[in-house]
Amino acid sequence: MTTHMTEISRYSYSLKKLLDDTAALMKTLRDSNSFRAQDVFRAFIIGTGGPSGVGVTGDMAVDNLGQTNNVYLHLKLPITNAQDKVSFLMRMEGYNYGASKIIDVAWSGGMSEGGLLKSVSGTHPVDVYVDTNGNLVCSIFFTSIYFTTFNVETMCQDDSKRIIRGHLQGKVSLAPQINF
Amino acid sequence: MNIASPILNYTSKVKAKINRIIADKDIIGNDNVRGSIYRNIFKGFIRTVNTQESGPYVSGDFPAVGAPFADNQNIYLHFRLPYNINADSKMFWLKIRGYCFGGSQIIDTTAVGYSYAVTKQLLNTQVSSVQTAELYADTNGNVVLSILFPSIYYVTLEVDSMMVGNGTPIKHGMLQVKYSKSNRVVF
Repeated sequence: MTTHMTEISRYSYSLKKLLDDTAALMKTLRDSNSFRAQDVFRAFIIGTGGPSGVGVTGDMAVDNLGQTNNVYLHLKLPITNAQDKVSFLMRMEGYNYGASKIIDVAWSGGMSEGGLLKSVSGTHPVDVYVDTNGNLVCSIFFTSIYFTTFNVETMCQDDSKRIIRGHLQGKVSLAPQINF
Repeated sequence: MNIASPILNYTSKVKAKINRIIADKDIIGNDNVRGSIYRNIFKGFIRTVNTQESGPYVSGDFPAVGAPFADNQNIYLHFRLPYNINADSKMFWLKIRGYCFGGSQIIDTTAVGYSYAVTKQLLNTQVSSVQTAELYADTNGNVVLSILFPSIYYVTLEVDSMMVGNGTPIKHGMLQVKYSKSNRVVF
């Protein structure tokens, strides 16, 4: 009997581990382990200062800018201008409550022969630039960033250069360009 | 010692865990976390809402049409959200995508807004849509998104939601649908 109980206990432990691993693997496969990576970066920004206060949850912190109107959000890519022949497509979807707007924007671009190539589109003013440290940065401008929720996904040219959860860094500012 | 009962109990726990893994496949992000997207909260196919081709015929999550319509032209689909302006202060984000064959159109509608119980209003809304689409509160206060299809013949669509602002997760089974020739219905 004792032997049986030990075996059952071992079996149940193995099964639990298998299920946990399966759940984690399914999420990784879907969100990260492909040219299209979903849920790469998300946040809920309550405000960046002024009467709205300062608050955020999710994958970034926000500075107190003294105001919540006319704010830029910057997302640093894991790409620098020292790289060559690297490209990306990044999309953001969400709700910009403060400006009563849908968020649906796309940034694309990359480095080729020392030059930045870019093309952007969407519901908000968006841009791609190289900061003074050489980082590629995607920016989006909000007339009010009050109660803004968003989710970012990416597509990449090949597996070795994919951009997944943990690779992006977010900051807010009043200036159209900043340095990471 | 009777080990049948613990084993049964254990089996049901394993089954629950597997069901949870299956349910989570449609959550892009994490359950109950702002910015996470719930895919496939509603999906289905409408072949016809009148008597042609032995109709009405719908499948997937679409409810039965009931009395057939005279034709398939200018039919509104009304999606009732799980919020009511008399009771709920909740923000929402919905995206509907599909193919409207009868109208030779892409279906790509995004709707955002805030059901605000304090003033019993829909606030800060925006709707982006290929077809005419509108957010409104019905006479009972239910928040409704309507889409007008020039022809609803062979319409296939799928709905996603994002948990935004002070909203709550909108999951499979939480949207209700009605068909009408009118731009307003009451749920």
